[in-house]
Amino acid sequence: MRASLRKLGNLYIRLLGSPIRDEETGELLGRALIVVWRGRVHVVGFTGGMPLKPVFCSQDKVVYWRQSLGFIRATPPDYPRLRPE
Amino acid sequence: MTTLPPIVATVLLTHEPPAAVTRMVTHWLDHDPEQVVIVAYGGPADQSSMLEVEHAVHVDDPELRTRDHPRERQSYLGVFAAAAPLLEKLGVSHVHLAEYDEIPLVRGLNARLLEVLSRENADVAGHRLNQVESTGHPHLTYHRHDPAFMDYWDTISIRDDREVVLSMLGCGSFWKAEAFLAVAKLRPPLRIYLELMLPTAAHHLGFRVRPFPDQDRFMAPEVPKHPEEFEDFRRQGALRIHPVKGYWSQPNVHP
Repeated sequence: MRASLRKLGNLYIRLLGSPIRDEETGELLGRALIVVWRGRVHVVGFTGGMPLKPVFCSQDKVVYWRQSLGFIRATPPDYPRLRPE
Repeated sequence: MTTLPPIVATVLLTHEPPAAVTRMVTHWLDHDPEQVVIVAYGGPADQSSMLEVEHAVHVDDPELRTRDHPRERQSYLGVFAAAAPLLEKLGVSHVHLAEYDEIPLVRGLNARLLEVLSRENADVAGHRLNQVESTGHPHLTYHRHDPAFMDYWDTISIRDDREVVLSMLGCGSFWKAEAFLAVAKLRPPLRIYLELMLPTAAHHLGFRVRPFPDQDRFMAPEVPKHPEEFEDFRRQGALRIHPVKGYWSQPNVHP
């Protein structure tokens, strides 16, 4: 029963979920339902698999009444070695 | 000054019956005879004593034997601690951490892995490696609920930014022995899921952790692979694949 519901939910999101695009590159990362509930943004059933980083989107003019939240893909680390040789 | 040639150990984590373990070790050695294969056996102790392999350690750690791995925060620190003395004794320079359902597809695999490590100037290379502390990664959000999780990195870190958290698959990671042995000594005060623990610990101890380029799709745990697909994966450039379930329990399927 639970598995059937999950399959149905996944199908619904794949067909009708919001496309999630990387705000920096424009790459389509997957689809998800974006639900706002009690002041929180819930990302439900994201199909992309990779971790998402929320970012406020840049705007080409000053807009006081609305700010948009988007997502970017997580990046691999690139830190130097700090061990003594 | 002469540079010694690298000695690579594949630490092969398994709980399969002894006959299957013999088959998998033979297969790994056949693909790279220069390497040392150390079986890290997580199965029953009586089966462990029946293993017919050159190098094996028994891992008697309840934190390894989980069913729902992320929710129970499965740990490989017991595997690291069990393998470490033997790695030191054998003078190993690099460690490939492999699970029983990872299958090597190319001969001379370790030379390719060494090349990646050298090219990236890295101490550790892993699959699905991401920096996740500002993301909605479910393992991170679950662990971060406990303040002890972030406090722990603060206690061991030699880096300026102690908030960094990394995530990678445990399976298929490739380590300089120095990094592997340093992580093996850690005893965190809370259980941390291996996919967060291993890369984040290595990072905060000062090691450089980098991804394996272009190989993640061949290691994706949610996509089961089958022997009839091996040739196709090989053509696509896969060095090894994961997960292939039940492969070693069938005596006649592997070459």
